[in-house]
Amino acid sequence: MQHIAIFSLGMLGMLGCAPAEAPRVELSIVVDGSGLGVSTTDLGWTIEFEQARLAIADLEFTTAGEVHQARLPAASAWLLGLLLTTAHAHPGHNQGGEIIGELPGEFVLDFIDGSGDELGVATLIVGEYTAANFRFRRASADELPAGDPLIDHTVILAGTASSGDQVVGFSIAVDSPIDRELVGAPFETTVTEQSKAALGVRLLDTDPQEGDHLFDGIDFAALDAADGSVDGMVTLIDPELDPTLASELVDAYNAIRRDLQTHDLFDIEAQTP
Amino acid sequence: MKSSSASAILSLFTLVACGEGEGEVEVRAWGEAYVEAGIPAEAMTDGWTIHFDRFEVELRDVTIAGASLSDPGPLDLTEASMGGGQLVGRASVPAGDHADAEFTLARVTLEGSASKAGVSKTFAWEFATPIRFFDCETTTTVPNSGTDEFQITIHADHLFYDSLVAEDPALRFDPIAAADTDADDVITMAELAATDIGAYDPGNLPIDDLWAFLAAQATTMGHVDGEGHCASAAE
Repeated sequence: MQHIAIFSLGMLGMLGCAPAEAPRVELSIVVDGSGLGVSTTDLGWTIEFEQARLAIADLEFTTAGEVHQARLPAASAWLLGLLLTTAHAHPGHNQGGEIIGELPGEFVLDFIDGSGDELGVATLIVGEYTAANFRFRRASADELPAGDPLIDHTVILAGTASSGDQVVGFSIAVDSPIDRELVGAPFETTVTEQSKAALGVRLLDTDPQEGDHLFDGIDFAALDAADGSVDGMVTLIDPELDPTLASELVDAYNAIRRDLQTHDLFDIEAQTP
Repeated sequence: MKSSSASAILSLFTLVACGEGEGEVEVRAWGEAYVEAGIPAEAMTDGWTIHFDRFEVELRDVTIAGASLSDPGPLDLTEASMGGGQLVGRASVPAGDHADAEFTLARVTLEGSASKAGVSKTFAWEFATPIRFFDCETTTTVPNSGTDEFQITIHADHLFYDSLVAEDPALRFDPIAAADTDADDVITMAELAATDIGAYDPGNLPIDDLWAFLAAQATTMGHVDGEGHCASAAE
């Protein structure tokens, strides 16, 4: 975790550069369930979610430009630039941006029953924000009721897919690599000293840029048949946990996990009071 | 990896500002033991052994300490070098610390094989998207009347990473071997392009097929002085 804002300013103070302290504000970060509605995939399946929960950690808020150089003496701005994160070409570093806000900690976001729940209060330097980052993690038994299906997983999605007379239930448990970082979720907001509105973290069923649905290409009826019993229920788990999983189910799991781990399906939005 | 320090920076200012001499920088390209000797099964998650018969890189527009080197032509990094790598070029430069090195990895052409449990698969691939590497995390310290080396290090193992974004990706060949759909033991670019990436993690990139995944990994192979990272951009 990079406590960049506080750390950078502290360093500047210690070195005697005496910069004007960059204004900071504290804003509430909440779960926003508005990104998941009744939606339709490219194969014509109408999706309704009954569960959508996600385990993440350490939200960071970033800007693409320089930070407050106009407020800092040149030498201080140079040092601040050194202290902030920059992007380098290597797995794990292929997206960049300077971190100027953060909400450290571990969280479980419930996008269906917990919309509006507060995750915590983030510290943000006043500025133009462009993106947010966070780490996927596995939920632990310490933070959830015994038997909760999210325990040891990153994401739980459950609901129904319907097409004509067919209704297929689905339950999907996605496991991301430990500490897999998601970088660059859209967060296009100007934070000022007067900002008060909470910021909502959304999971989206549809990529707003491309129009692609999380379940595009998924034929729920075919998956229901592929799992060995046409019982109107599709269950997807990490193939490493069930090596007997049919190849159609493995492919569907991989495709869904791939989409869920992109910044296309998340954003941060200022909440309307 | 070499690193800068406050005293080194001050020394640079002193040396350069006072014009205290000149030295030489020698630029070399090395593919590490993974290219010269191969990637052993122990390094791979799924037990394949990788051997390269040819690992040819085309470097151009190499600059360091304000000097531009002549393009060296193709260099085959499989040639044994005892850790020294292949010579890219030399230049006379001001003595002092230099952290301005840049280079373009214009093309990588490789041929090799992968073996496991009596099965051997061959491959011959070319990655031709020129990538510019700059803002590298290293400092080359050239002494007055002396020589220091700047090494362009090619990380061939990145080709077999299963993630474009994980900090500690696994090295795998099983998915690539499975792309040999005509079972002729030759894994072609066309076969890879027709194969879904499965459990591989492309991060935010819209990559669905294995050839695009390998091509993206190829753009990350350029490093400096061992593990030093650079910023990069396609030209």
